[in-house]
Amino acid sequence: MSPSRVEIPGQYFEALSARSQRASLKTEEGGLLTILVEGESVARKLKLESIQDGRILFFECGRQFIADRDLGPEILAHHTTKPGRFILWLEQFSFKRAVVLSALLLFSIVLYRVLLIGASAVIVDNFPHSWEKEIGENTYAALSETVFAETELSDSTRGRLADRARGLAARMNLQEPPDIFFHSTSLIGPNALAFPGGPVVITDDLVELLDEDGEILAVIAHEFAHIRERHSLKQIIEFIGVTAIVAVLFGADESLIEEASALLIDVWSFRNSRDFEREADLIALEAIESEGIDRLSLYSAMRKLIEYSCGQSSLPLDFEDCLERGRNFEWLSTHPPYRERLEYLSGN
Amino acid sequence: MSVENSEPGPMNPARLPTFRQSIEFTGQAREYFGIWITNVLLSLATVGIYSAWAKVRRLTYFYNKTRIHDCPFGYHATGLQILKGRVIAVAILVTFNVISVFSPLATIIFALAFAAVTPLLMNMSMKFSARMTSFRNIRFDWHGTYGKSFLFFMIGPLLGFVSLGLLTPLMSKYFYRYYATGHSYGVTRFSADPPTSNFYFAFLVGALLPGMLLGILTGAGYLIYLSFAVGVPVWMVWDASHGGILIVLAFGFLTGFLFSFAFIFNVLCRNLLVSALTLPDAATFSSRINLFRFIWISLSNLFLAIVSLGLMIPWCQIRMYRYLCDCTSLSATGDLDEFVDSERKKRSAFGEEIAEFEGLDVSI
Repeated sequence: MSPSRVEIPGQYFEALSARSQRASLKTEEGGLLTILVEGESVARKLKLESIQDGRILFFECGRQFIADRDLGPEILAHHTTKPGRFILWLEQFSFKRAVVLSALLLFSIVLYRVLLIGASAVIVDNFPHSWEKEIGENTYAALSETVFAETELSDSTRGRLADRARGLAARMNLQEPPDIFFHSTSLIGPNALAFPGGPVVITDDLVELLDEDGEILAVIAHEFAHIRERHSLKQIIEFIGVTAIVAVLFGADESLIEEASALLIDVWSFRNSRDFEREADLIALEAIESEGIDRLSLYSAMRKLIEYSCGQSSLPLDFEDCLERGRNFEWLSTHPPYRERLEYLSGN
Repeated sequence: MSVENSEPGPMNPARLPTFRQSIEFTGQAREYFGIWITNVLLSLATVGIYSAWAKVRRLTYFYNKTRIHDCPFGYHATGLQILKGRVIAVAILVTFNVISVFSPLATIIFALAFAAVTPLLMNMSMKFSARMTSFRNIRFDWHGTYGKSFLFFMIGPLLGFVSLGLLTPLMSKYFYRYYATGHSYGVTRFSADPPTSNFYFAFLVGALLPGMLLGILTGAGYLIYLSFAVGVPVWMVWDASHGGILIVLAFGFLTGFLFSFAFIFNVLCRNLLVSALTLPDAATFSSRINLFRFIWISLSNLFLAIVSLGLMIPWCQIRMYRYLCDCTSLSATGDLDEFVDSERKKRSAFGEEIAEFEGLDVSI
């Protein structure tokens, strides 16, 4: 339907010029637009580039017209596509619509979160193991040139532990037994790392601190659990999904809000990481038990590691104080709190 | 908004009178809320595809509601232009990430190549943004060169870092001056030459002093915490810190320095630049952002955005934008009618989108 013929006064600009003149916009049959200056037509059959703010018209030929008043729904509707009209309708503010749309938004975010969990499981299940393994091997290769040094452990120690770890891998139904590498490093102390798809790195300091094979194998079982459950991959995929949702919601224009939302994502990913650590602990407990290793080996290994960590503190704290330390900042930690971890590992 | 020597009725055909007034912003939070929530919902529903159109809707709203002497700004990019740029940018980033996973050597080559084309992308991005913005039917433009963009946007910050901050104010001055003088309104170039000494003063007040203050406060807090943990008076715990106090002091200083450099120093630089900015024979500008008010608005906006689960973001954005407009004024010293534009060519959004996606967007 064509809009009725109207004449709207306003300010007219010729193409490529900032000079304005009083004029009027006339709508004609079929919605054709004409500019009149002092009653004389100066531009006819103008093709619209866009209408902005309901009264600013930009034409394809470079001319501009700013109407003194809104063009009105009839003219706007004639020059707007159907989807455009729907969007304009959505954008109109009313209290009722704001409440409905806000509720819909919060529901969509929850729905997205639920879908994301399902989607990430599907993606992880279908992500080729060979790709994951290649990611892990490349990351290890990069670190072995910068962070890790040659091991100082004897061949017999390494051989013995590697042999028993292979048995453990078979018991845990890993697709293929991950390589075990021993390294000396001054950066991460007594530690073990699982790379996506393998390998597993054990530091010399860890072997020296945990002097019993059962304890070392318990830690290796924990790392194998991360690999079997593909925790790194899950973490990456869920992180990307949540970041995308937060970016859409909070935008990327308010720098301080953007920084805060990044912090919130980190806190969320720490919680995710704590859940993965708990899961790996529980799987490791079952695995070492079925391999004939004392179930409490993981507990004693963890206790020694916590004691070592407490001894590194600048504060002269006893073990009990150390267990309490950081309890208030659990949400900033990638691992479960010391006390809670020891409790469930000891079976209490 | 303050208006001096202003005659009402810019719509009259006579020459524009000289005037001095704040940049006017007529946007309203309730109006913008509708646009914002529609943008977010449609972006979620279309798995992000609508976000290109959302950007156009958002910028168009803010530009249309920004006025000088009752004349609004215009925004001319289309969602499709921006979407095309985003698709190409995402394709390149995915390729880069896949390569980086499988071949470290190729990653280095790709990264070097990316660094080499970054000034080019920045120029494309800034040209696109400028050409898509108009005022009184005249488009803005960007005339940066590859060499200068490389020097002022990439080498300058590096020199500031290597000189331990000594050259940072000087480099900032060159950065901001290049940003201003590289822009034009139609065919008329902006000019600006803010004094170097002012940038050094801004660096002292806006970055060094807040850093030192936070360092001292963090160190004092650490000593008090230690004294409680060990159970001795605070002045006796220096030894118990085992040198940890120096690390805490450095951490506090660096955190305070980086935060204030990003938020406070930049605001002071904006004041300096805008106040030195002129459009020859036509207009001078002034910026009077109050640091404390700016910080208050930023922090309270952050608080409101979080407690409202994001639903107050439109109000926060309007509030900050309005404050920045209120603090910026223009004195017309010549005839704004006299400006002319150059011929228009089709622009690609590719440069802007890849640069924005990579966080390489340059703005003040």
